[in-house]
Order: sequence, then structure tokens, then C-alpha cells
Amino acid sequence: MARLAFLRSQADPRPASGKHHLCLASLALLALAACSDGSGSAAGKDSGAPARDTATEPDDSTEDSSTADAGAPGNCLERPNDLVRAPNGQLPCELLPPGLKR
Amino acid sequence: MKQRFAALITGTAVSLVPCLADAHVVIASGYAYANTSQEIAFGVGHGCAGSDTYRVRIEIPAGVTAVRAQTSDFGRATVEQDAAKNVIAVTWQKAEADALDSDSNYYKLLLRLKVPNAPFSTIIFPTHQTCLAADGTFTTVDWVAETETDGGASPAPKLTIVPARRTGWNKLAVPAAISDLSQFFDDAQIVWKDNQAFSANPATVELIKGTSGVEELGALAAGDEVWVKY
Repeated sequence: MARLAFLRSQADPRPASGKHHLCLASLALLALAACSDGSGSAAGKDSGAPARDTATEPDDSTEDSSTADAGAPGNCLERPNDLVRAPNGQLPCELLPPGLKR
Repeated sequence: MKQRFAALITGTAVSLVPCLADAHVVIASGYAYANTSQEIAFGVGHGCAGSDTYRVRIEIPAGVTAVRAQTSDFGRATVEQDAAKNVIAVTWQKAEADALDSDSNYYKLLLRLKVPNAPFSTIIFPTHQTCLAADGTFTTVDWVAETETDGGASPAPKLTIVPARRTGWNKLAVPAAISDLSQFFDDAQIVWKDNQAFSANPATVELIKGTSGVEELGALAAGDEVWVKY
């Protein structure tokens, strides 16, 4: 119900009206359809993280700094499309000096 | 009765010592950049044992040039010059009627001056603070010592001079050995010498420790070159 209320508030910020019931029923159907979807979509799983729009963001899963070559300060590549991330326990590329070689 | 009076005087004197020791006149504008004209702010955090600051006289050390004083809460400043017209001291003094009944205010005194071309060094500005109590008593504290010493003279405002720099990476040469890197690099994101790194930020220190091939940098020798990111 909480999810339903959330969807409701997101979908229709207008005050309640006669047409509201119809809209609410439509949203409930949409929500049920999403819940019954076994593919694990963002709407079905409450992960606490915003859903990613894979159509507009590059897939950087192969260059994830948390998994790439642990302890390699010299291997920083240009990744202009990466989002700024919290440190993973090692110095981030931007804190490595010019020309540092391992 | 005499013993009681002596004890009272002793107790009062002892209680005033930490008061005076805490009442530093300090540089409130942070690092100064070598060979650069800039504003230097002196903060007067306290008066003298409960009485308001009435006058402040700041001596200008050799090598500091182009000194100009700004009018403050004390009113206009007066400058003292040597024969060569170099400013050797600046004094701000209130009218007696403007002295407050108690030590309640913070004062900031501004000078614009050219800092010597001596990066990674410190210079002191011997300062004399005079307070005026509600009963008309004047008290003067001399802030003239190089460093804070127990029971000795009070420490003078100390200006820390660093090289002029830009945001981002800077390659700097260190003219003299530095044993305490935080003295000159406290505001740097990170300092590198070869594969050794220093940061005053504890979170960055943890990252330095967690990065293989990187060691902590503890001190610098004369002639060392470092990469510093600001």
C-alpha cells in the first residue's frame, strides 16, 4: 500500500477529484503488473537505489573501479562518462600525481 | 590576615595566567603567499583578564613591505616609519570613552602588505596589546615570543608563508627541510614525493595506507620537489 501511495503521489500531484478513482485504479493495475513481473525490475524490487536509465548512461560495468586491478595507481584511464564515486579504499585517480608509474 | 591576603593575591595571579595565555593575538587570515601583496588579518580574541582591548601595536618585521593599515573598530591606525620610509609599526587605539566595561568583543585588524619571497617559512609580528579596565587601570600584554613557552613570554602572531599556487596540481621545490608537513600543507588535498604521499585529511590518509605501492610521506629534505594538489 505504501508503494501504491507513493506511485499515486508521483503520478498525480493534483488534489483529489472525481476522475481520480479511475486514475488510481489504472495505477493499481500497473503496480500489480510490475509486482508480478519476474524479471526483477526496479519497480518490483525496493532496493533503495534509483533506477538507472540504461538508454542514456554508458555501461561501465567492465571498468568498475571497485573491481579493476586492485592497488594499481598507475592504471588510471580516462573515463569522462563515469560518475564521481566514493573512495573504494584506495586513492582515486584524481589524487594520483602526473606521471606516477608503478 | 597577611597570609590570607597573600593567598588571595597568589590565587588571583594563578587564575589569570591561563586567561592571558589563551588571549592570543593571532593571524586570522590563514596562509600568506610568498612575494604577493595581500590582506593579513589579525584577530584579537580576548582582552586582558576581563578588561577591554584599548590599543594594539603591531611591529612589522624586516622584509615585509608596502604596508597599509585599514581603519578598524579602534578608529584610524597610525604608522611608524624608519628613515627609509619603511613602515616599522602600526598602532590602533580607541578613544578612552569607547572602551567597553568588560571584555566582550572580538576585534579584527587588517593590514595590506607584501609578503617576503620566502616560501615554506614563518615570520612573527611582535604585538603589544593594551587594555583599559572599568576602573581606569591600563594593562599591557606583549605578544613577542617566537613560540609558546610555559611561563615565558606570550607567543607573537605567526604568519606562515607558502608558495603562490593554483587550484589543481602544482610542482613545488622545498628550499629547506620540513619535519612537520601539516605546518605548510594543511590545506592541500595531497602531497607527493616519488611514491610517498601526505595528506592532512584523515580519510585521505586511510586511502594512502590502502593503496599498494604507495607509502606515507612524513618529512621533506632541502631541495626536494613535490607534486601538490590543492
